[in-house]
Amino acid sequence: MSTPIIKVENLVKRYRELVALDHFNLEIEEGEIFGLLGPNGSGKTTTINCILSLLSYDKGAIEVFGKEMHPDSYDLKRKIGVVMQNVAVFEELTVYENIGYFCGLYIKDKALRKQYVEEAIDFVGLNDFKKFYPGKLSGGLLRRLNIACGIAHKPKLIFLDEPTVAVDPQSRNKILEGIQKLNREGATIVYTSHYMEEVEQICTRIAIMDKGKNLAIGTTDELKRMIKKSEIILIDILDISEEDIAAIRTLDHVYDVSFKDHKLEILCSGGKHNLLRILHYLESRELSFGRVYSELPTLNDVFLEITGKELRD
Amino acid sequence: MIHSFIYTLKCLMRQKYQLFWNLLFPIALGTMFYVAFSGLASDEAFHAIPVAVVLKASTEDIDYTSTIPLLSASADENNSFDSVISSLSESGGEADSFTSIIDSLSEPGDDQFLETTYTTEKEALSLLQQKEIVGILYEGQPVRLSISTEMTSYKLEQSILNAFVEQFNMNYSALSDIAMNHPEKLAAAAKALSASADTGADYNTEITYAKGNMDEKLTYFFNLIAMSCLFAYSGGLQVALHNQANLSALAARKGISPMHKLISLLGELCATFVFHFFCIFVSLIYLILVLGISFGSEGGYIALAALVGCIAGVSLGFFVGTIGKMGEKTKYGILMAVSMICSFLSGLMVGTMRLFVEQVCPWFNHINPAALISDSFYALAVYQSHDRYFENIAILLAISVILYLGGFLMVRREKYAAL
Ligand SMILES: Nc1ncnc2c1ncn2[C@@H]1O[C@H](COP(=O)(O)OP(=O)(O)O)[C@@H](O)[C@H]1O
Ligand SMILES: [Mg+2]
Repeated sequence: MSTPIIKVENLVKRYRELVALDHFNLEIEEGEIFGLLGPNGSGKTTTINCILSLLSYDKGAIEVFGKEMHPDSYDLKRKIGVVMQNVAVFEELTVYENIGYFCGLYIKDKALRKQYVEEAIDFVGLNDFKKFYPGKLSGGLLRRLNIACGIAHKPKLIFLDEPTVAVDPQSRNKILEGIQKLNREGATIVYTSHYMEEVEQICTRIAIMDKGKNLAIGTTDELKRMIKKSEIILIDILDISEEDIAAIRTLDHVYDVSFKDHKLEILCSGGKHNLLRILHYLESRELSFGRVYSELPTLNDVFLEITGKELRD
Repeated sequence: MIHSFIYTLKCLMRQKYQLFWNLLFPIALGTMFYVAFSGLASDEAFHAIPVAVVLKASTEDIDYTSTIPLLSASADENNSFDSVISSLSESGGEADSFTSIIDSLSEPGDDQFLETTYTTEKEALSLLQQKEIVGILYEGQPVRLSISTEMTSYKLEQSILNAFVEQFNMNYSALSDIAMNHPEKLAAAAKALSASADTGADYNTEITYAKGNMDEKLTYFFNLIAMSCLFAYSGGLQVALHNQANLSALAARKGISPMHKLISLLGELCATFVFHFFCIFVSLIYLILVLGISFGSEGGYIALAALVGCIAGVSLGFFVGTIGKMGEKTKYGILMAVSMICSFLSGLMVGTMRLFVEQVCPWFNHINPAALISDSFYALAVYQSHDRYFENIAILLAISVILYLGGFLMVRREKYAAL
């Protein structure tokens, strides 16, 4: 196996008494879109800032591109692009100038810089807003500008810290598509979010974190396979007796049944044809039922099962 | 570095509050000072003062039982010029020079000083009673002035006349000489006389004529420029905030770029100097060329003082900006207060403040940047030698260097405990 592009070992970071990162471990391979998924305050931003050597940490080791990362690792920093959680642009500079400024911190050659700036503007779809000042941009467009500033210099490794917070759905989709495009063009992506749908949609691998700990890591399917629940069956039904519920609970692969508001919820783990088996039982008991749904577990279910709480805020 | 320089300059030029405080504000305040001062002095100077002149020939027996309470003013009877004057009076040129001076001061025009009526004493007294005139000038040795104590709203005119008579009597011989030998220069001499009467009456201060005219009012303008220099703190503060990752998102963003911190810092500081120096320069040009304020003739030294003033102002903002984790607003407030206090103590609002400080704690004037900057201009305008000027400049530079070093030590840090 090649050396990971990012390697974090036993990272401990305290803000006074608060332990923000608690023996955090992470390995990211080249070419991934790696998702850091966790609720607000779980330590995603802290992790990124530690990796970038902006924050000091109490314990642990961090390697980027196989080398130890320091504030003066300029050769490493040159290959990294960061889109920070807080929009960081100059109010006094236009869209074009902002991107030009940040790109210029990395690219000395003027002609090349100009070309890169144009490409970045194209990439985030701000062509009509080149001469706009940030104050005049809507939230979504501002985020896109922030992204353009972070990636204009074509870095090999890109960190995106919650780039879609407070963004309209149209901008959000554009951003997600863009991230996948960057990845196809060869960049490794580290993407943090507390929206599981997004992470599920674009990430090749995901780490679920909470309270500064890395709780689980793997592809979406791997994560879902880690938990007991594999299928949720919902059936609209007018009434059902306690005996029938108990009987359903004894069926193969069913591990929990509940009935509330005329809705029967059956949780199954593994196995095939769970739905069919349950419908057969209902028919044999001559119980009439309405609509039937079958759902696969989401990352929220994964999170719920690991931490005992919902991921959604 | 050039990259940072260019973009910082762009930002500064587009910040409306920077342009307001550093360019419009000094110009507006300078104009206000100008209008206020000219309101005091030239308003009255431009309105000729109505007087009656009683020549010796028409002097009758004076009726001192007149109902008007009169004050008679005259120069010291034991004037050292006495002998000269009496000899002059023998020659008969006396009357000629007196009337010709009065006449030249009464010539209609923008700078007409007197509005003269030649008349008899009786007539003059009745004019004074009717408040048609402010005073009566009696030709004589010395010239005497009578004014009415009832005309309290004409205090200023009265004191100007009084000062004029004093000046006239003191310079009698010189004036007579001019009147007799160089009559063509009489008008200019008379004008100088009326002008000095004007200022003398207004300010009752001793005027230093070490090198050209040094007017008390000028120090207000020097202090104004000093204040503008201190206002450069806003630029320094911004540089500090934009380079410490725990103070702004922009600084954090820059911190992760491969640009060396000191290099971008230098570029930004240079841009800030240039911007503020430009603002001061424009303000100076405005004061000198448009308002006609005299900063002396040594342009290079004036510019140097302004530049050093800017460097000191930026250093102040930079240093305060780098210390502590207080928010931008707090730091801005602190700096605003510091610069206003410094300007106040250097005499921006109350002209005599600096003298007061000089008496109470003299060392403060030597470390107060506002006082140092305005004193540099003062030294240029007043003193022949540049010793005091260079002393001020040296202290300013020393203070700046200390503040920059302190600031650099603070921003040098590259990893933060918290953002
Ligand atoms: N500057 C700071 N000072 C003190 N505590 C902080 C600071 N920044 C973050 N924290 C705390 O550290 C924890 C992790 O924060 P963060 O990394 O920002 O989480 P996330 O990015 O996942 O929302 C939170 O509990 C937060 O309150
Ligand atoms: Mg965060």
